[in-house]
Amino acid sequence: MTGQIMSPVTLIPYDSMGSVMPVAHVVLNTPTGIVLVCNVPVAANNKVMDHAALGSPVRLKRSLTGRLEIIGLDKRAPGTLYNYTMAISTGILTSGNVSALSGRALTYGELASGTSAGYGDTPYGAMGVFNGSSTLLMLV
Amino acid sequence: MRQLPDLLSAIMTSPQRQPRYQVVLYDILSSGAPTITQVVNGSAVSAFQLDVTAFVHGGVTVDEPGDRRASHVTFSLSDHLGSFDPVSGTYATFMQENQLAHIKVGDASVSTSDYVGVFFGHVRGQVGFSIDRQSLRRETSVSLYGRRATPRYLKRRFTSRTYDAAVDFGTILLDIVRTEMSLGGDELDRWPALLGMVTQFSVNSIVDLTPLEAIDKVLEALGITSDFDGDGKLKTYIRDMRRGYDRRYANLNLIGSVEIPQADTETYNSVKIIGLDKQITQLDQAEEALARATIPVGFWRPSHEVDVWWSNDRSLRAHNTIMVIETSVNDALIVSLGTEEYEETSPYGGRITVGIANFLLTLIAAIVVVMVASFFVPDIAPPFGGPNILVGSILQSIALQLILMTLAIQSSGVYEIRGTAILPVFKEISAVLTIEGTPDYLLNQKEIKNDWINSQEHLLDIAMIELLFEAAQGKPRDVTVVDDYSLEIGDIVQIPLGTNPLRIWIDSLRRTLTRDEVPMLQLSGYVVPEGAF
Repeated sequence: MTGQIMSPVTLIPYDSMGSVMPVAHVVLNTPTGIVLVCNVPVAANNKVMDHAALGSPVRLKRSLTGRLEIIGLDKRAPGTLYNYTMAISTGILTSGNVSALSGRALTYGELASGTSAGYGDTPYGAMGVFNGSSTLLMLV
Repeated sequence: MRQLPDLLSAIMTSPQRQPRYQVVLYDILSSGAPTITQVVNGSAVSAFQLDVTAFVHGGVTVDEPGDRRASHVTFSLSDHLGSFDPVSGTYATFMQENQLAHIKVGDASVSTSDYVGVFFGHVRGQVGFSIDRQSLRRETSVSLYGRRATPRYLKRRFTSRTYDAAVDFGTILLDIVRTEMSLGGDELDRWPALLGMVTQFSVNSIVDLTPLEAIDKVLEALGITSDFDGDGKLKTYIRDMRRGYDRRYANLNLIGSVEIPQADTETYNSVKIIGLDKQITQLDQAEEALARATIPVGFWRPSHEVDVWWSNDRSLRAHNTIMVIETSVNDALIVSLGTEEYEETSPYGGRITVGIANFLLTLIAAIVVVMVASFFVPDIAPPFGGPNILVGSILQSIALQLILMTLAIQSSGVYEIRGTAILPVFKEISAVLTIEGTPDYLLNQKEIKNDWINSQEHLLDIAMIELLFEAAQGKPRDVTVVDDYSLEIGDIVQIPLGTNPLRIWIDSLRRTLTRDEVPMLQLSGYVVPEGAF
């Protein structure tokens, strides 16, 4: 399974003892569409992930119970998903929504308008996950 | 649809039919035996072939299951001498596993040279043999499979050579069928040389696939599929239902039966096609330190140029690069007259230029002037005697010291180049095409991954082909028609049934060849959705 990380690899507490674990948000191309999975753990001792910046394609392993794990870098990333419907009796196509998640730093305009508190609430350099080029989904 | 010889073609719709068939076995395993290519070409030596038509007992069943599966034939040979005893019969050689058989059909009114093949394949496994002492009959039962079941084509994985950009898919496929399947000559009569679609990336290769997997994956990007015809020739058929019929029945005279079979197969109502965007995405990484350099300068090397690269193998690309001066050469000088410059020379690296030449030239010029001037300043003799006051000498010494200090000038700067590394990645592009009105809880999606599909338009086109194909599978039909030797899997036949003519895409064929009976062809297929035409 391949994906694309949408946040820097960061350490977060992962159990009640306060153990920390490197994690990253990952975008996947699933049968239900392009989805974002937050805080996916990075496989132990995976030094190569130290170089994985925002947007890097990654390879993932899914356990039998559905938990994901980043096991390394990859070369291909989920891209744009185009949805269409077709009337079988007429062959007429209808375009649906287009889905493409990407991660980048917020622009000055987005820093001012991206949060309800206005400019100054979000620090310069903050990263966000966007659907398409401009719809901010979340800050990372 | 296969092109028949004119005489045979005319007979297909004639009420006067005298069907004939011919079963010819070939010895391709003995020393000096012909190759399969020679058999296909018709140049096999007659000593290695055996016409066993007269010994066929009970007819020949030819089953073409379609869907990338090999044809299958069964028949029995019978005589009272046991000539086909696979152990000790006169023709035991022809009964060995992997020997070749070619079955042709025609009509008594045409020459056997006008017969067309309906099967071409190999003996599979051990042939059966039984002796019935009561009826004095010795019967050999034979099972054959078409060329698609050839182990080399079906099971042996290979790695292709690497192809550049803008190479026609047809060229790649021809390479595969020639080198990995050893096909040539007439075997490729029906195989397209060019397909009108070209590679998009500069490096293209096929790794660890069987030849049939490889060619069908490439052909999938064009909505077609490979198959072998009844004469052992490699060909393609079209999965795309958005086209006209190949054979139209004007009335029901040649139709034996039409059946709507009970079918509980679950069909897909949505397809997802995943391809690779032909534009490689240049992914900007976060700003980082790309290179560092420590550069010394001095009198003896007043200007220093250093090329820096973003990676050791000079393959990493970056843009928006800037130089951060961590330690300046000017820090070591009395005044800041050194220059420190950075230039991005390529996406892979840049050049740092550090120089104090201007400062030194100015300094030396000034010292020379002072030195020369000092020579005009004499030592002064005191008016009341005593040693001279060394005004001139002192000035000359100071000037000399300044020159020596200038010669000893050296410094070094430490520089860091920061920038945004560019990571080239393949981006998947996907298209999901769903039948309109499908409730979410009934969504049943088929996923196809194909790296030979490289644009949104192409994805959508293949998605339409596949969705129409899947939708059609929900309406299977079994039709029996008077045998038409030109019909093949992938053909569309139109039958005048009901208010609207029924179009059926042929998925499988089955015929039993017997003597002097009206030859019937059982074709199974799917109703072509109206939206496809």
